Amino acid sequence: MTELQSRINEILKFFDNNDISLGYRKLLDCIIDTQDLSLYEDAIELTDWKEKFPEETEEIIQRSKSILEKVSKKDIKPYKTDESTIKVDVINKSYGTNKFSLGPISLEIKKGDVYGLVGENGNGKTTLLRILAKEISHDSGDIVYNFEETPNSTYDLRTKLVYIPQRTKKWYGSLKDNLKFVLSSYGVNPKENETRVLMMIARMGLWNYKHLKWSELSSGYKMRFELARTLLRKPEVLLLDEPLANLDVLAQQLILEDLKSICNSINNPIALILSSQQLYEVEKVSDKVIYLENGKQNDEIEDKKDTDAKLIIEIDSTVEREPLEQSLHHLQLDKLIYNGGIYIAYFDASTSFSSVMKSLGEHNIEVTYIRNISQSTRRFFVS
Amino acid sequence: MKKHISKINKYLLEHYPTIWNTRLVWMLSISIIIHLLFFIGGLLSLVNPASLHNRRAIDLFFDSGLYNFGILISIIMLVVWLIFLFKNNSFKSFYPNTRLQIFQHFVIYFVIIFFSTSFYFSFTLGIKLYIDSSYETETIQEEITLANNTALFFSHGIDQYKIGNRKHPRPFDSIFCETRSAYIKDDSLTFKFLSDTYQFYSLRTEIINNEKDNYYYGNSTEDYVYRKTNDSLTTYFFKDSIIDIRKHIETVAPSYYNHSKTFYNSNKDIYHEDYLYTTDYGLFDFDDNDKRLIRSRINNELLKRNNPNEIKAMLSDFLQILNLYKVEHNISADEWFQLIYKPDNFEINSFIRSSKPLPYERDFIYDASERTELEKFVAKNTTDYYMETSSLYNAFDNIEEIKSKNIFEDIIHFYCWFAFILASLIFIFRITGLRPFIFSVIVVTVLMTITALLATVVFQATNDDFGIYFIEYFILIIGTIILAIPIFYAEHVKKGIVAVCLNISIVGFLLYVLLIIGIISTHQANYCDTLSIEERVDCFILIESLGIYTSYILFVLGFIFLFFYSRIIKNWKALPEQ
Repeated sequence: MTELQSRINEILKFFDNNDISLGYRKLLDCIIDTQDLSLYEDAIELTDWKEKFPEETEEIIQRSKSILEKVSKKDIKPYKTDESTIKVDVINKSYGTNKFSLGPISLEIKKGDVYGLVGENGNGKTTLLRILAKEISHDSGDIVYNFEETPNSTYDLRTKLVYIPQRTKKWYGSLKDNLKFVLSSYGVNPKENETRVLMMIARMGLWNYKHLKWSELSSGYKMRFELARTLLRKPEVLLLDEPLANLDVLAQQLILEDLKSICNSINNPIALILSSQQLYEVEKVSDKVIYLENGKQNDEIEDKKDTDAKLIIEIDSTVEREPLEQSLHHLQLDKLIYNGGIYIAYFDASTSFSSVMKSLGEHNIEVTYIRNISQSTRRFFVS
Repeated sequence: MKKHISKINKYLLEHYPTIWNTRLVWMLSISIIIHLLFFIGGLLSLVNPASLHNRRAIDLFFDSGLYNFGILISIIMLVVWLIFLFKNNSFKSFYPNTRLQIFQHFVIYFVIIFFSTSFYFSFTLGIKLYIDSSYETETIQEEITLANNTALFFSHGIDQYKIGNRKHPRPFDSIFCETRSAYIKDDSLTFKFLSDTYQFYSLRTEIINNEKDNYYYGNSTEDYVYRKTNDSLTTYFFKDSIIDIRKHIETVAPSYYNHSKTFYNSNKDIYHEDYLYTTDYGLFDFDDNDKRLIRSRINNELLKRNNPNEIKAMLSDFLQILNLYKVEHNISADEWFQLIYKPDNFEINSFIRSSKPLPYERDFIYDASERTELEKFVAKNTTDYYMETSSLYNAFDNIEEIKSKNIFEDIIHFYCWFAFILASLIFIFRITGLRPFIFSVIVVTVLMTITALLATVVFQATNDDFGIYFIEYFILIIGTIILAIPIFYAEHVKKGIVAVCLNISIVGFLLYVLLIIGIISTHQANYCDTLSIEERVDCFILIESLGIYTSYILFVLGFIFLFFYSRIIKNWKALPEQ
């Protein structure tokens, strides 16, 4: 089964299970991979109709499947390379004596990979991203970029390193014109410009917002428009600084899923590095996570994943410490830490997460939130 | 309309993003419409011939205050344009930009600014086109000839009719009439009319070769009475001996026979340009001596013919010209003829005013007892008739000037350089941003202050030549360093500092070239000072030799520089911050 066929089957399942929103987004991703403008136009027409008649779910599914049928006949050659798009070799950056210093940091990222960059404020996430985007220089070490077309100048290289800072700048004028300006600046065939822009608007779920002004958009939609503009540049590397900041939890999950899906394109995968403090969400989509602590790369994550098998559970509860401790005591509880808001319980490796939940239920402990953070970088934040 | 505009915008955005971003099409369209309105304004501004009565109608754009309106429109257009321009910046966003595209941006800024500010040309072109099409050159020449032939009968005051003005027949063409009593030597050979005394002198000449001999600098009454320069030779005319002209004159009283002044010298006549007139005898009207000879002969011939019909027809035709140009007058051909036609010796005893009498004018005339006999004579014989012939003069002058004027000749430099400098400032602002722009202004101000202070100290401590060299070379060194940093040391210096140098280089490169030309010229001028007078004539000084071409050369060089410099601009943009 080809990669395309497998994705089509996945989409069909989503539609069969009535997961229209997710299925539709995945469908659009497949259509984008075809690079077939007639299919783009079908998708645009369907998106327009879908937004006008959102209640007509049966017809949406039927028409989506019909387009999917056309997509299945296309031959999409998967992108295959083992070479890293960015290879960072022991880079260091220092802001003068006794000031913050970053590094040594080494990493490699391939197209289709998602790298999560986590760490508390002031630990160098933005600095690292800006170094990778060549916005700021590094003092030592090497960064090797490996793109499809070798850049012929530093300016050319920087046109390929797409970096979105945490605070994006205001857009002026029509949102659609801003998107079209990107494509025309990149020399896209004028006949394809409108179609490609509308397709991206449809894909990013911005159909009903394309006529608004920048000031009328919420933070989430501003970020989506920024991503749309960025993705139109067909980047090979995408560097996002705190893309989830100012977004609600749902919007965070949605945008991460979209990013993961878009970067995982069959024929045009993108190497994505994003920084965030939303550990759970980032870890969910990341292939690798770098934890930065005081500017240093914490390798514990990789090292401890297999060796340190302690069960660490984060519990948010209103109960007093004593009853909670009593309810968990028999499960080989090593220590229970209360940091003012949540409890962190450390158990022996032989204890299972389900036995902890069972015990909490049996002791009638009121729990508002519980999470196994044994493998999560979250454990570094809370410890 | 809105749909049409959107359609064009869509097309431009998809096909020509630079043109869409810079709003070139809309700015040029609006500019062309405004240019057209100014052109129509110019075309209509001189439809009424009375508007030609004031001097320098060619400068109507400035004199009428229209330039204020033009500036206002330019400011509004450019501000609105900048608002639209700043909406998108592909260079700042790291979209692909070739060197040519970066250069294109600058050229488009220049074109937009030039077209948004140069309404003067459209208005003046309208004026020129109207005058060219409405006033045939041959007709104007005929009218000028008629006006000049009729001018002897204008009868504006007495001065032009005194015996000293006569240049025909011989010997009046080669004698000088002294009228200042202090210089009248022999009472026996003088002529008197009322309070005026005249004495005639023959003339002797001295010829000076300007390239070999020293100029004649005179300051006494024995000096020349006028001089005539032809190429390298100047002929000085001196009073020689008193001569008796009794047998040549009919009357010593003011007469139409004596009139020899040409009313209007057409710019088609070139021979009078050989003259340089002495200022020592400002009281005497020696200008256009050769023309006076001709005019005096023509006038004398007309009066000798003594044909009343011819004179009457001439007066009548002239009044028609006055009417054609809407020149104010209150006299008919018959009335005028009655005043001037004195067939015996054509003595003038009635005067016509040169302007309309003001109400209560007589109240302001000074006490009659202080007047000379001659003034009393004029006052007594001045009629209430008037002809504002100076308005006709101005009309001829304006028409000829407008017809011959190349409206792009001089002022084009101002508009081009204004557009170039403003385009450069907008260009650097777009490329490097606000902060480097402000820092550049501060750095330039500081450097200028330091240079000025240094100049003050150096000029006080040393001689002028050393001071000039010192300042020139000091600026040259500073300029070279500023130019060199973005080109050779960009990667070793902080990006912000390179940005400031880049900004100063873009705006100041032409000043740098001008400085080099200036330094070369200073050296050449100093060398020339060491040469003899003869050698100095051929001494080559670069800036003098280039003259106005310096402006053209620098202008073209500016564009060439920016084209090549766009590579440096791209390199700078790609630099990481440190």
